[in-house]
Amino acid sequence: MIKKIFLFILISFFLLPSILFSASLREQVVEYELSNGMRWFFVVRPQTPVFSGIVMVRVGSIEEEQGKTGLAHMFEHMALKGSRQIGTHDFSKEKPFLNKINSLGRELTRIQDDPGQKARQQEIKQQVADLTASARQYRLPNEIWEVMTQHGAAHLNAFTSKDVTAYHASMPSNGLDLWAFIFSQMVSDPVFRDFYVERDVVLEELRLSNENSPDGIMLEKLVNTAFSSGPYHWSTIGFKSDVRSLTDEDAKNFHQKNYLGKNMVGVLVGDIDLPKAKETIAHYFGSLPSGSVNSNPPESIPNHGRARVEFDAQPFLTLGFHKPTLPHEDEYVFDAIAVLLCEGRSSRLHKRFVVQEKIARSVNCYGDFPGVRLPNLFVFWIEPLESVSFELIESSLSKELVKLKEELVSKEELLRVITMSRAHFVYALETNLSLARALASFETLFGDWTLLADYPEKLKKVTAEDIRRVSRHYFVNENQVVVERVQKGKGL
Amino acid sequence: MKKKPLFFFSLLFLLVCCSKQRMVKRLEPTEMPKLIVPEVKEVTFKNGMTCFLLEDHTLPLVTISAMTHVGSIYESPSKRGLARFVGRFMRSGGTRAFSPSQFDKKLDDSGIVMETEIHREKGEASLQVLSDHLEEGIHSFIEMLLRPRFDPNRLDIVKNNLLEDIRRERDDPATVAAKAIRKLIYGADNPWAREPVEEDIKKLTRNDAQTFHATFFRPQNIILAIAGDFSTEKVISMLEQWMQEVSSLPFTFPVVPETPLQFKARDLWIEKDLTQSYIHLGHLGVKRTNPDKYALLLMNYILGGAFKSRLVEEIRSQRGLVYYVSSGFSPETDYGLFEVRLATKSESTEEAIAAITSHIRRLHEGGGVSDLELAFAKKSLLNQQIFSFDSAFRVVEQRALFRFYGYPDDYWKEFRDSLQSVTKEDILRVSQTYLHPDELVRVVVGKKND
Repeated sequence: MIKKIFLFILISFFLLPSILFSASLREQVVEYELSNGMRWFFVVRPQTPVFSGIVMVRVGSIEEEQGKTGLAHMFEHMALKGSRQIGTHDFSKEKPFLNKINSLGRELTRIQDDPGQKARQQEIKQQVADLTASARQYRLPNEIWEVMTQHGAAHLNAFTSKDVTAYHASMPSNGLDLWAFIFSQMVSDPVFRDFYVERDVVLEELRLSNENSPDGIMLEKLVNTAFSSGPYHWSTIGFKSDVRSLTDEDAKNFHQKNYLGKNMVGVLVGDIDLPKAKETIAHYFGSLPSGSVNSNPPESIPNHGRARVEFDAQPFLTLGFHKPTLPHEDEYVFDAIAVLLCEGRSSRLHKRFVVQEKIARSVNCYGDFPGVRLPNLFVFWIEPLESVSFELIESSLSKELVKLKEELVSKEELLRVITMSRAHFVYALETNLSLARALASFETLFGDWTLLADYPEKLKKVTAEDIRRVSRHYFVNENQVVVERVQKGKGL
Repeated sequence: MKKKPLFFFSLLFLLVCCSKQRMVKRLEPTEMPKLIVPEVKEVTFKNGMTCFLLEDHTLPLVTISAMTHVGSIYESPSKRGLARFVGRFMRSGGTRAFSPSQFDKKLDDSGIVMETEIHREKGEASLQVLSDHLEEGIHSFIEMLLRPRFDPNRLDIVKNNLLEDIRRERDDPATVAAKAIRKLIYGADNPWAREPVEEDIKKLTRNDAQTFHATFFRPQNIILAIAGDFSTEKVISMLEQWMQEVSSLPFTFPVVPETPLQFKARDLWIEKDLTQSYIHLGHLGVKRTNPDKYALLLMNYILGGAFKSRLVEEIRSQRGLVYYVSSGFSPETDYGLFEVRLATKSESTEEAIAAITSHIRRLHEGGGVSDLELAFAKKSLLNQQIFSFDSAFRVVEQRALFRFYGYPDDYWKEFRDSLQSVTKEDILRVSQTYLHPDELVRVVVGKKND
């Protein structure tokens, strides 16, 4: 989960400008649309004989419904379990076993909490174990990982967020065919192998990120509190009770509905031969059904107020303010505010909390929590020093917010914001993979990668008056949600 | 487009060969990717500092890293935490010409990112700067590295920061387990494992910082790696100019006592109210100078060093017991660690430990590493080597690291050839020699079921 959230931190960095760099970026990106509507983007960087590739699908946990939360992420795990052509040397022989195992899995899911069915539960588990043992002769476990790493793949991974699901890997440039074949198989032809074992793996992941991680617990409380219902009410990995009742059929339906050409974007950055890359991509991804672009679900109902979680960990405070998302023009202002308040050691909040008042170890601002396709939160995260009260932290923050609402930011400070943003923009797009991810994100989230390139101009236009206006409008009590994390047993 | 011949080759291969072979097999590249490491400019300044430079004008930015022979292993036992303290204070405490606030503002005004940290045996300082602020960036970097002010006004802040680090380390169960197993294996007072407690940090002074810095941050102890959008000549002359007054005095490193090579099974349960157990198992490993490290790297890759490995396959993919499980066998200056890490729901703690232990035992007892397994591990590690050199910065960083650890400049070739020549018999021998399934130290952080 934390990693998923950091994705958005990264994205909000990408929302930051560099005039020169973005101009050249516009020239470097080659667009290519397949006949099924899948959009591809290529950037040739021939310096080193490697490339990075990403496939991003416009489907995240906001496409889920109550009762089936966690499904987008569950499917992500399935994509890596192989297809009819990967993970088995004879699918026709494996298939009967697979069908039987999955049908038993569905039955077990239905009766798993029924104490009157203990005997049947045991019986099913035994049958599944026997069938799995027999099926093993046809299987090539984790073949995607085996083949990819063997040919030098790095960064092979996938992630799911509130907004998107993505799959990526970097490879030596002689591996493009292999990359394209395997990635096209992952998104087009999943066979839901080991679904129910993988569901246990996902439940372990959920325990790691939402039950035993102090930050995960806090973040889940934040979304549950800030959005009283709707697609932002749950965290990306889903509610445990939902995840443990997901079935392979749920995942299959989810795949059929969302993994469609028009709903997907691909990017390759690195040492690629353009004509050859186009041909390869069209060959492997061209046969995906076309479909349509997912529209956004209805917005969540924003809530204000205060909540508290207890955990065996040091105190932590998060404050969020509801706000719109792109393409709303105020988004550019929020990005300027995030830099002004939290970026660098001379930022206003670092100076006040860490240096002058010595009340916190760190202060951070994040502009797009928990996602960006729907109106979201501007969040402050503050780690108080030992025995500093939340009241003191909140009162200092409120003084800074009052200052934003009353005084105009100086020209000098505004210039610093623009310079820092420009620098971070370049740093963040340095690697092939980070550039691929940024382009894919903008195209998938907003339907327009050029927003990335145009952002500098937009941010440059932010004025001191804008900052004051936006602060006055959004940083108000009826917009605010607070989550306190306190040390268990020490409830302040 | 040098790759044309290869492309045609693979096309030909596709047309002619193996129509019955599975698609994925047909598409596998038949040749290893060519690793060509670009020429790097090396300079040794009069004062003894070494610098590796590589220009790359793709993006308007420059990245610099400084590696210094300094670390917590050199702390005197009464000054625990001093190295980490100095690492933070250098960056926070200003320079000769600039107070801490002025220095922070100066860097932010130019979009410069600069950080420092001191680890067990290595000091790391890094700089990211847009090329149009290069001169200012390098000047600030050198001043911070060689002439930090350690402004007394920042003393409390640095200490607060370190004290919170210590308190908050306990928040994360995996960190708790990792620190605990190190202390058990090496001994809590061993320089390679010891950690400061809050009292240690409170005692540290500005004077301690200045003395420690002056002792270790001598030019001959520092290696710079610089890559990006700059002119080599200009950067060299800038460095020469700013380091004029810094001379190098002879210096001998304090003797760090060697860790005794002992193996003894021990168990530690750290109670925490969690739904999972965070399990770390391990024992002492090998030194960087041990030629068996290549065979051990491969052995570990087969055991749990990759996603396609024995541990992941059984414990995650077949049994669904974990989200992550991995093993590491990393050689260090003194004996490194062999360590397996995982987290599983509290109820499956024993099952997971038993499964891991039986895999270690199986390897140790000669449990058949197949030709396929060894070939897979070799191919993967060799083919991934290209990603250690996939940007100009990585290239100079690797060179600096090789120098830091006393390896030859083209160590990557030695690495490649040594890996290449490992045999199944070698794997068998190192598994028997270096794995100790009956002497595992086991740490669990979690809730006891009974």
